[in-house]
Amino acid sequence: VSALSELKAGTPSTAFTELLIKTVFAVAKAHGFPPPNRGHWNRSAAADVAAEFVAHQRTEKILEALVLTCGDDRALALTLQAVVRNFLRDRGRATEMGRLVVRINRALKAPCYKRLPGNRFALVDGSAEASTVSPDELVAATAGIRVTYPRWDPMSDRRPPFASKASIDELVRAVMAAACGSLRAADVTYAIAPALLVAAGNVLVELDEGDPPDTGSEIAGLQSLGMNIEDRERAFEIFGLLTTRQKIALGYLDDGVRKIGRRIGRGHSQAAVILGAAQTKLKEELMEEDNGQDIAQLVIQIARFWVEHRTDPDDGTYTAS
Amino acid sequence: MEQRAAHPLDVELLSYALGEADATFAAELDEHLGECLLCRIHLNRIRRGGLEMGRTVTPTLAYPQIASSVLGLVDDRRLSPAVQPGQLWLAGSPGRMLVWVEAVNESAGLATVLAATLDVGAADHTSLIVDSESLGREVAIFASIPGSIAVDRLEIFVDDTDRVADVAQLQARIEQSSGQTRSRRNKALRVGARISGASDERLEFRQMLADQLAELDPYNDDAEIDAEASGDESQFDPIRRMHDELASDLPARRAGLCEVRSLDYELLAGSYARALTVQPIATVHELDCVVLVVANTPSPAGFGFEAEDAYQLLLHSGADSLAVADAAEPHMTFIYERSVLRPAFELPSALERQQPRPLSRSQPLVQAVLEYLQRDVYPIEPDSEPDTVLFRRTEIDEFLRARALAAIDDLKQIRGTKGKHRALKALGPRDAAALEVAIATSITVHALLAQIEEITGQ
Repeated sequence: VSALSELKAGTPSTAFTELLIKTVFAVAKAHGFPPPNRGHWNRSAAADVAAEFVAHQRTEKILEALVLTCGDDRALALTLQAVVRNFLRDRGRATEMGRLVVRINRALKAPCYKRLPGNRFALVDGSAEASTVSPDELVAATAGIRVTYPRWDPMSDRRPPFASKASIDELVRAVMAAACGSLRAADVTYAIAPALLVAAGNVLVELDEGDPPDTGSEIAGLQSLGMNIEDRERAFEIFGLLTTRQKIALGYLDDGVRKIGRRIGRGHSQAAVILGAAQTKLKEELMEEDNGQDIAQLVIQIARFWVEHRTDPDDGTYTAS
Repeated sequence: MEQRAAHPLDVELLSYALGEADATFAAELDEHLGECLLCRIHLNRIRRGGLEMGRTVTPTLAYPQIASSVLGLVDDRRLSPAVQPGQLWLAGSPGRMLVWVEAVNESAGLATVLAATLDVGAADHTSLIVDSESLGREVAIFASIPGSIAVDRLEIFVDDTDRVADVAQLQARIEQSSGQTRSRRNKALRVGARISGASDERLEFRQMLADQLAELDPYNDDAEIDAEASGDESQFDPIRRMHDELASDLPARRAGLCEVRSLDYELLAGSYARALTVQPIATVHELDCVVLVVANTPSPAGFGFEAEDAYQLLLHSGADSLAVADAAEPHMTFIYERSVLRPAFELPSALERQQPRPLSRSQPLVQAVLEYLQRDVYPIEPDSEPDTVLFRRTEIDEFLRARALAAIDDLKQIRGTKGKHRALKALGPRDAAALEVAIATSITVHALLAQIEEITGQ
């Protein structure tokens, strides 16, 4: 009995579970997601995450979507890969939400707020009554605020801050003012999370973002590029922020989007979107740099070197022998 | 779909790494991995840290109940109704996508559809969010992603939404959003949040839906284009042709005086963000004159990209002039000099800064560069009076004729308010005509100035 047959009969069982566990293991390793409980990826860890996925409140709708959209077992495996990847990303984001609550608690210790019984917070000169403002309106209060991000080394052991302190303080201030009453730290967190992009998005489609940082530092010769460029480290830092597909797109820039699309397993129009996203990243990261042009060109140079030397076809790490 | 199917899934790479793939598939994968960096990276990561996937008993997981109404939809014995506008269908096979039927052309056997998705979290401001009773969940219909599909590709009927008017209203709103005001009579529609910018992931999501829908289009020629693996034209092929044209024609026509050089590796990559739309082609060297030739979509109103980027390109290439050629045949080209490569006030009104002005009207690429080189390098023995050399008639004639009347009006407006230059105040359409004749008939600048003096002094 195939996984799809089990699903269409409304009783996912052994075949579907096996496919799910293998998909979790393969996707988690191929895309560099951290294993649960600081352990390492093995069948047991993959089965734990599979069980977590099955217990998630969104899974009922996901299974229904799989039944509707998958016409054969490969189509099922393809969609399940996207679903699992998005689940692993959201799992990371869930942890991020917990971390954000801690950060917001810290911001609410500022003298302009008072702490009330029941772990609620209000403006010092504001009403202590529980806010009746809807969550959507609280989110809307953050819309006009420009969030800035401090520079961060993607290879750092520490996780990057959500945003600059000034941005977080301003977001919290806007939400507290809009609340016209007291809020819990968690309420404030959910209101400002969209502004910090700590939010769930698509479920059924696999998008490009979410690869682990990879600066290719183990590739011989890569680190000697751009020795004459001031702030050359910044180029390696930005290169590490690009997804694998974005790196390949920049590395094969001369090929045009049609050929790039074939290289990254996407249509040419999606390849253009992915290339555009890479360019936007460069622009956003470098627009305020004095020598942004030089750094951007070094990033492209690194990408060209990276695609030529990263895991070449004779690499013993991949050949079957 | 073919190029996506050509890449193995992560789970297939795992099975290959575990040695579980059958011999035929493993051989195909071997061949693919030899060419595909992306898959080698994924396989490399899968292998790193070991493959502890030893077969043990499959755990029993408590799956949630799948609604019987949903299972009923994919029941092969179920009869589907006739295709009508307003219906939701699952289209294509084996991977199905949700579509909303906008119109049906029965005689052609075609339906106009809009892409739809169960991923409501990825909806944007062009997608209408509706409730589907048969699914018991929300669906997002993308009013901005239309497509054409053969009716027989509509595989599974899902629901009848009865939201034709709402979708039409949303489409009208999208069309109006480019500048016109919205009608206050429109009812509030439930749509997704607006796309926040170029880094919004929903752009990629939208493109995926659009591509998926295009693959179902009976007239989709993308597959054919993609199939031309070796013969397809990349966006860089016209650039190579332009480079070859310059390299073969110019040195021959300038009798060995000039040299066409390929560009530095870094410059080819372009100026990081904005100027990546510009394609540098070559530099042309003659004596101390260096022209940088780039491809873009130039026009008399500007060269299609930022002056600052153009200046940066010149600095990086060491060129002192910029030739901007249209990438399309016959590669009409404008030439700009570095000294005037900045927005400047335009006399006589000087009301606002204008884009840099080209040296002359556009010409085909080789001709434009050739004429510029001929103009830029003076002969040792001057063959005419300096006046005629300095006065580029073709440049000033067209401009002055077009601007004669407007220039007088501008002058009158500016000077008139200050109570000066009464003579100017008195100028009228007849004087404009006289100016036009003067411009057309004057041979030198001095002669033209004398005629203008005469007209304005009357």
